[in-house]
Amino acid sequence: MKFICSRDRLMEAISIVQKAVSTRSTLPILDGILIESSIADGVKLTGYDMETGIESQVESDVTEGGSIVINSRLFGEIVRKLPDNQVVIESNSQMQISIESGSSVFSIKGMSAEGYPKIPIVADAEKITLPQNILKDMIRQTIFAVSTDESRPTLNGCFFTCDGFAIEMVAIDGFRLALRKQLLGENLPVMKFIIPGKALHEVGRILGGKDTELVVYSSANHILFDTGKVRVVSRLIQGEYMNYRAILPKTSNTTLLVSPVAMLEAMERASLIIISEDRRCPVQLAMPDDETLVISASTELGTLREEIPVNITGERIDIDFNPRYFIDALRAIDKEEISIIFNGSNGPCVLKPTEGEDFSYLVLPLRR
Amino acid sequence: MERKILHVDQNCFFASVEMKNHPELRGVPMAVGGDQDQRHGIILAKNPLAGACGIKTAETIWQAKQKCPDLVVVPGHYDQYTYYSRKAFEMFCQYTDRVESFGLDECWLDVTDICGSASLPVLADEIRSRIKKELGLTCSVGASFNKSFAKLGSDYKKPDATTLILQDNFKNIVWPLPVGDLLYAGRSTQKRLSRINIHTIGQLAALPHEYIRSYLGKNGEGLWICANGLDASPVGLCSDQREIKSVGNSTTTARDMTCNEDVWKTIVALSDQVATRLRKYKLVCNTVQIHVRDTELHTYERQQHLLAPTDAAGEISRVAMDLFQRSYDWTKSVRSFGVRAAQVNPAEARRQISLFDSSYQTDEKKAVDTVVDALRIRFGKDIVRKGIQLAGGDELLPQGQMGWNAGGFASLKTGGREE
Repeated sequence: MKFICSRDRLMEAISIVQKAVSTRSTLPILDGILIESSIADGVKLTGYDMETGIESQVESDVTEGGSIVINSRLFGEIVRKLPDNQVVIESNSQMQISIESGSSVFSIKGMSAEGYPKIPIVADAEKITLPQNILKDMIRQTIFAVSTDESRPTLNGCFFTCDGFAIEMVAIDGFRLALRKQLLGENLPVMKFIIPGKALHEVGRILGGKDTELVVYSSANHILFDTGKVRVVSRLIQGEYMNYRAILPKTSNTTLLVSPVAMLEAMERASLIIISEDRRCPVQLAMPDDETLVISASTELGTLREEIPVNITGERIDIDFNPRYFIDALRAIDKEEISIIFNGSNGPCVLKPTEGEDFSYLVLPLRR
Repeated sequence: MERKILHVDQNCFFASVEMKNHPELRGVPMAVGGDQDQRHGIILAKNPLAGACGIKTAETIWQAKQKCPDLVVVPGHYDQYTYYSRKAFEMFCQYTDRVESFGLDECWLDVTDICGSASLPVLADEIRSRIKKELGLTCSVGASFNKSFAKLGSDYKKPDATTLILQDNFKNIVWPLPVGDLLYAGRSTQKRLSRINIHTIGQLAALPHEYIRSYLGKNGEGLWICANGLDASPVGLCSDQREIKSVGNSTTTARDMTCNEDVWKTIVALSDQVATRLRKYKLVCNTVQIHVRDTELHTYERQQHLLAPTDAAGEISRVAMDLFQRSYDWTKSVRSFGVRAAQVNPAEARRQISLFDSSYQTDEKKAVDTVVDALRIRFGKDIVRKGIQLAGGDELLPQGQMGWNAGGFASLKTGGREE
């Protein structure tokens, strides 16, 4: 194997695939990055921890095809420190890899590519094509509500559905629910599956903010995100997702209109005196009249009280929340105004932009 | 300023209490043992006559009777042990507010502020004689300038003796001792140390600091610090003693558990106890831990952090079962099981509502728990039981077995645990 490429392009690809290289593997080969080069297809790097696999193309000038596995950390650190932007990588049949740049030449022991596990091929797949920035936003607006409680595995991922016209992503951790919907067009395949939060997190990082196309393929057990340059394959979480439609309240007793920015800033100030580890301390919301929301918190550290202008219709209530749950949602909304509906002091509360049905967020209060 | 620390170790504590309450046991080899029918048949404590027959603590009653057929084995009376333990603790608190208990029968006292250099052995002897006069028990006292040496001192000469370990003599007294005498130098640490030919505390102390840290990690570094007499850990305040860090119950079932259903029955019973105790102490937990021991006595623990704190038996048992199913492969049967609620905080009136409570808008479960707790306080713990505990559950968990644990050291030996 022999090819020439740019150090910076190579470094970029390494840091992308490193996200899928396991950090605590029992097999040394899984600590490695697979390098494959062919004169026809160029150079491809792969990281795979048996759950998520990431492949990244590197623009290169290949003079000899071949493949080899090199320790991921070492490879990354070497390439980062190379003196010249041009890198020549070559391997021989003794599994020795030479990395040459400027006047420095590394010679590193590699591992045979034969022992590297095969990333599952997502065959007979359904596919949806969508702009990268849309999926990136959908991930950003739901992933924070993915549960980390491993005792409910189906909630460790986002529920992704397509009804033929729109795609929807939902995340639930037991105390809140984030839902993001996006109209895409017509005649899309009908599909539903649960994507692990970890894979989505990596996809969210890799996706660009522009409307370049991305293709999502799915089979019964796996999903593949393909940007052309980078491909992320992940196992899907098996099982029935929670029936979240039943949770979303159909009625409301109180509706409040507010600027998400004003509310976010007040919540962030309140959380300054709430120790994040201690999840029992709430932020308290009160509605003394139809134009005022009082946000207050009181802990051992001290107290905060502030008023923000709102517009309330219906019953005025007092209610307590974990401020974290509001902050996450308010950060995800990039609209001028939101409506918050309440169902009494112990009922679910739903945040939505006043315009559009793209995003809704349900959060449960603390019982007094 | 150099500290003055005492460590008081009540000699053969359980056996001594039994002999005090039943003087006829003084003249015969006797031991306090667990209940053999419920497979707790080990020696918990023994008197000196039994010790002279070669009987060791923690061996089975069956083994002990082989060595000494006349051995009298009496069941434990934990309420009595707790009573004497508390009496001793109260006595120590008269001397200093820095009193830290270590199990029912051991305590450290920091007496730096109350005695001059000459009077440390005098004070140690005074405590010994007061324990003898006021409680009718004997104890050994170690006096030193740190906690770990004080503990070594109380072990050094017993029963009823004082050992002084000071800056000018610790190398002679402590360094020849086997490294396993140090607190927290367990079996596997000893094995690793013997691999590099370290057998005594002195040999450990002589190793380079950096080397022991890289070889044994943080725990090894702690041992090295103790071996060199540099242990600076403070003696806790007596007012801290009652602070509960976790609430746990465990049991060795009457027969081995062979399937998930057996384990589930045990978990339900244990979680019910744990949750009831949490509510009694007005605590909620943020972590659930399990402790599993198989029939070959291999033990492991697993834990799960909860997304919201709880004091409900249902949530604790659900998480415990999930931890078990994710970690156990059933190549062997399970002998004993423990459920512990950790990272506890005081419960407040406010609770995060969860989507998983089917009744999350009405708080029915909490209301049921409150009623059950009240019924149990009034009519006894068996007045309300889970259905699963009636349907054949009793063969695993016989009557009395799952009783309330007094907590502390006593329950640690028989089942429950409160740290």
